[in-house]
Amino acid sequence: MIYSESLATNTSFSAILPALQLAWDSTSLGSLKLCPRRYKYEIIDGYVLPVDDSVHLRFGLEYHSALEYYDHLRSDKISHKDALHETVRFALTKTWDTDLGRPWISNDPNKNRETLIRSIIGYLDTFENDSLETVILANNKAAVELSFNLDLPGWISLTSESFILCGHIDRLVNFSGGVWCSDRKTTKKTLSNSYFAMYSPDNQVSLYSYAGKVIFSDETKGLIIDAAQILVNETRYQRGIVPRSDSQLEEWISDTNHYVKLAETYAKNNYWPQNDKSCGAVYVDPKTDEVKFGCPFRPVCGSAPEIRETLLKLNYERRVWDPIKKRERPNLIEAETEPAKEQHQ
Amino acid sequence: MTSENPESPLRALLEASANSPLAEADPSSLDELMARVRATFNTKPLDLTDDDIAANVKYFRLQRHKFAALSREKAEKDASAPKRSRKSSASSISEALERAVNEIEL
Repeated sequence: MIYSESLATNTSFSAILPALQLAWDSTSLGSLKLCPRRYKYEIIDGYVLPVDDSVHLRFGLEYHSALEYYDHLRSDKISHKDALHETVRFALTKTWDTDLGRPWISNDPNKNRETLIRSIIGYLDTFENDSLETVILANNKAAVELSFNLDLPGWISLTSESFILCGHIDRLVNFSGGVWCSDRKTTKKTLSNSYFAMYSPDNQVSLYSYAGKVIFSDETKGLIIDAAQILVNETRYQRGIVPRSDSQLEEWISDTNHYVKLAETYAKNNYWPQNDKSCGAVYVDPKTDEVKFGCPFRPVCGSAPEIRETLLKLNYERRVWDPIKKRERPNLIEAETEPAKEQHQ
Repeated sequence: MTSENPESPLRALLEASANSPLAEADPSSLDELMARVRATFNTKPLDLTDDDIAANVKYFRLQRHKFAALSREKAEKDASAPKRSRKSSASSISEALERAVNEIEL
């Protein structure tokens, strides 16, 4: 049995059955749900189209880092004015390439250094008097950018290893008598009811709500999304509330168990079937928030099986998708994951 | 980065905002503000002064206020504009088609 070289360095997979994924995040679970064959190519083998999505990733990372930095400053009782000032300095510094002695350069008219600074200032001004209160952790730090790993309840793998769910929650907040996960998203799409409607049902929202409830607070009610529509000349903001009831989360975790069991069967048999009804599906790339049309592996699956490996090697690049690896962070003290009770910012 | 084009929408926007309360609050010209922000984007972070950062904040706030005002103005104009009836739209399409056919025949 030959497995991808990428698995050798991927800590999220079993050391005993190399194609068996043990640590699942919303991206890998989403890929599996779309199509087992796609999951094999994309997550296990690590193939990606050589499309430069680095601008979207960089923009999202810097936007999140800056807002996280601001949250920490505010939790230290620094005023909005001063925290905003320092956050702009932080973002300008983070987007300066010291090696090359020049700023980060992007050719995307929507996502570049100027629209980044503009969007950060606009967001922080818009939500200056926020009704959401950041939860304060036991270490007195703001509950922002929390990485979580939790056991998938109910069973262990055929290799006797545990399955875990993992991810990163932007912020935990108190709102309207409950605790909510807060997530900031950037998009080019118009912000409307239909934008927020696409998060119910949604794999990532359910995972974060579930994790919030199990790890942080039994009072977790769902996700609050602060969406920023990045246009060339302006940035618009809208907040959407995406609740998840206990029964919805029970259903989601039950479904997740089912899918992970299927993945185990696929790995055991070294066979990942095609779901040929999802080849043309329109979906939102969770890594870049870009709308994508159709599966990137359609040309491969549409070809004869004997030439697919060659097509993959010729037309795709490889990277390792390892959910356990922590997201790059700004220079901040990592928050502990245990919230203190009854403390508010 | 901000466009160097003197006809750029951003320059027009800033000039149009010259009478806004934000602009009045600072005696420095909008050109100066825009030039300063442009310069900060090419300045090493260690060399950025507090005034440079403040200029960024002011500039992008001004931009946001102006676009919000323009959006409100457009929404009000759209709301007050008389709606064209389906019949008149259809009739103008049919007239245009007739003109096109006549031109081809000619």
